[in-house]
Amino acid sequence: MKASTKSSVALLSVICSSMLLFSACGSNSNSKGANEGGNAGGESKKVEFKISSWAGPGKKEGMDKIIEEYKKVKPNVKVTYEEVAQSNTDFDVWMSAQLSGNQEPEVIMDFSYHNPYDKYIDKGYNILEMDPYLDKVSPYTNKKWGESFREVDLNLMRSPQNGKLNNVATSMVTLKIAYNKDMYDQLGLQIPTTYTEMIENFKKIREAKIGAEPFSGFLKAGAAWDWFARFTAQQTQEQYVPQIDTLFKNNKYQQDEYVKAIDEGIIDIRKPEVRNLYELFKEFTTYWAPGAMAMTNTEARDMWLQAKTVHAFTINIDAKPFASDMKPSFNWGTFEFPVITKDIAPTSNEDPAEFGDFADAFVVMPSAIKANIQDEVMDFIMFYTSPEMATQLADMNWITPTVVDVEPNANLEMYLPKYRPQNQIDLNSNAILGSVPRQFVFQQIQRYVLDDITIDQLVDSIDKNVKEEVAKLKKEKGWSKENDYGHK
Amino acid sequence: MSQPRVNLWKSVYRFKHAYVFLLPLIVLLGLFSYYPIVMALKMSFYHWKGGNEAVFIGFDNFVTLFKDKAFYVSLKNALWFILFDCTVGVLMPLIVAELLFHLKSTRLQYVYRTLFVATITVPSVIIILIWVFLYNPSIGGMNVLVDIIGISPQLWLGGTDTALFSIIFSGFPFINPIFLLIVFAALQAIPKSLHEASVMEGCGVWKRILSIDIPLILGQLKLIFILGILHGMQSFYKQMIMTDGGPGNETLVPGLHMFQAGFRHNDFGYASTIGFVMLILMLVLTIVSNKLIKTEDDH
Repeated sequence: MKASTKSSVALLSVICSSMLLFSACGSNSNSKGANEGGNAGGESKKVEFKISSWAGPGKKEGMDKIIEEYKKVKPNVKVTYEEVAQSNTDFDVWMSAQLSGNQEPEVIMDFSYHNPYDKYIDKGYNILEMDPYLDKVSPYTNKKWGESFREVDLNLMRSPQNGKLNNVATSMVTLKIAYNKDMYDQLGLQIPTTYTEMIENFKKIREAKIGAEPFSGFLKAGAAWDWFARFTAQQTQEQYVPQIDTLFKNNKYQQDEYVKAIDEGIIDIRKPEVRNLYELFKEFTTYWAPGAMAMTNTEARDMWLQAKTVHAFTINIDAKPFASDMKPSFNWGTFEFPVITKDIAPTSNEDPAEFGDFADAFVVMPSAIKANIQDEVMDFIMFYTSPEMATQLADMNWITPTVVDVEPNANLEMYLPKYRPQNQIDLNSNAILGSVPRQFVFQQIQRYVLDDITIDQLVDSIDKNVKEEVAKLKKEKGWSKENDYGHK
Repeated sequence: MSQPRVNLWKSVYRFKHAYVFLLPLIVLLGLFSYYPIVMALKMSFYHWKGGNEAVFIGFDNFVTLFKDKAFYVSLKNALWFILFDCTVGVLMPLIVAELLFHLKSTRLQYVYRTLFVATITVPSVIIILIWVFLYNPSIGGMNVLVDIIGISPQLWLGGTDTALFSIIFSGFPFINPIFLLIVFAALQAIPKSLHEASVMEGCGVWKRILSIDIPLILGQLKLIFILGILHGMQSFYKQMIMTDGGPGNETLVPGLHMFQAGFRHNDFGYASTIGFVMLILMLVLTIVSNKLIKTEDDH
């Protein structure tokens, strides 16, 4: 009797646990259902959505402020914001897990350009295409929403894979080179305007043996190489854009156009203007502090802050910390990545660029499409990108907004872009072919910089890899010369 | 023929409460440990980017893996980690445990043991980051140290020839507290009479260690040897934090290769293939080690 009671209790506990587990799952779907049911209502229907991103200086405070303002305008819409990771890399891992469990938030803030396509559309997720909303009148400006942005910026935000606007970036990353003014004064150096002058300054710093290396570079992550490749390519390879842009003819190139150009021999990394950039990069890295290969951007920046180096890469997000808790103990300034003159690269347009990336880009996820709340979400995004809100954010976080007619914070003076690029060109990184070939190039660059391989070996290996990756892409996407790379 | 089956059912019925209570744990174990293995095997046959669409591609992922030069490089690198974990990683806890075991003062023995084991409370990420700082050629301390013994400054984690061994050396002093406790507990389990007899027979320290201690704790040493193999094969977060597999592929290991395939390149099908092949390799290495190292219990 006693034994049977015990076994009954045990069995009951197992059943109860299972029921709890199932009921927990059930309650989740029920709440979703209720939400969806609510959405079927009229004007005052209750809508709820979540925005997720990785942490950044002032990011949460800024977003919370906008949400608070929005609540006054749309009390029926509940928007919440959460920072779920410390870095964009960690965020990608988190999103992969969320997507595979159909638990993704309705909206995320990510990088712009090729990122939303690569991360979501290419994996089979249907994210919101925003082009139709550009023609809609924003209730917060009484103008077409598309007029809130420069066409050149919108064009850059569009995916190079399908040419569609599947995100809208709200801030711009500008890249500068920070320098130690005190050391410049000590050595009598002038701010360089050309690449040659910059290298001359580096040489003088090294010869002076002042206990500081000329430059704080980093090659554990690919950003420094990416920046260099992009900036130098924009000066020396711009003439390729019309030659590559043959299918869409939209003054930029997409993945299919790139593949076609490789097949036709238009893109060939053996061409001097492409190959030379690898050599130029190697020359640049010889003036970097030793150990850059295993350093991150943060470590490199910290070395500069400790006056162990004279220069470092800096982006506008650094402006606020550099003025407060991370204020350098020396006088400092910034200059733009200098001009590559024609004597170094005969194809140079001698028109430097400082555009790093578009960031804080809203991406509307499948969960919002499934719940049919995309109009409500886009209304919030229109509110966020209204000049009034963009100005508040610019003042608060010292960001460079993408919204037209919004002045960046006065403290951003050292980070203001002097030049705006018309095209995003980079034939050296192969980023457009996907993350695998991009990583391959980066690894070969590391080996080349360390003298493990020669320039000929570098070019041979990248050339071989590019052709293999192009063959893979063509097979995967069904592209061929005969079907005009999927356009027939 | 049917007799043993009847006995089995009788035995199950006799201890039914234990079986009932174990059942939820078995279900959870199956769900969280065995189901992912089955899924990994299944997804190895798919082109799956982690999204909703998975396309069956047969053995394509396996063919790609066996042609993947980076995978072979990662295996070669993992062998160095395994080699180190199975030699120094076994010897150091053994030496320290022997020294502790033969301390005369029980109180001091306790203090020393606590000092060695207390390191387990320091998060490993902190230790890794300290090593990253030490290895910085400009501001870290390693170049200062090697300069004292007349070695020129090195690039450490940033050098092709030094990166792999810099990561391996960052485990210094190579005393895993858990392994130390296992060996120490095993030494304590040796009957005191055997040690007393060895002293009376005039047996020296080395003779005693080789003839009494090691044969009697061989089972535990075998355990930490096998754990060393598994640890060496599975290790990846240290490489990820310190070098991210670079420069080039100099410090890439299979675990990191799998992580990069899955979470950086969104190729979860290929990542599953790497994971499944790793599992097979680890099983083979464990079985071979089990066969090669014979303990008293095995006989």
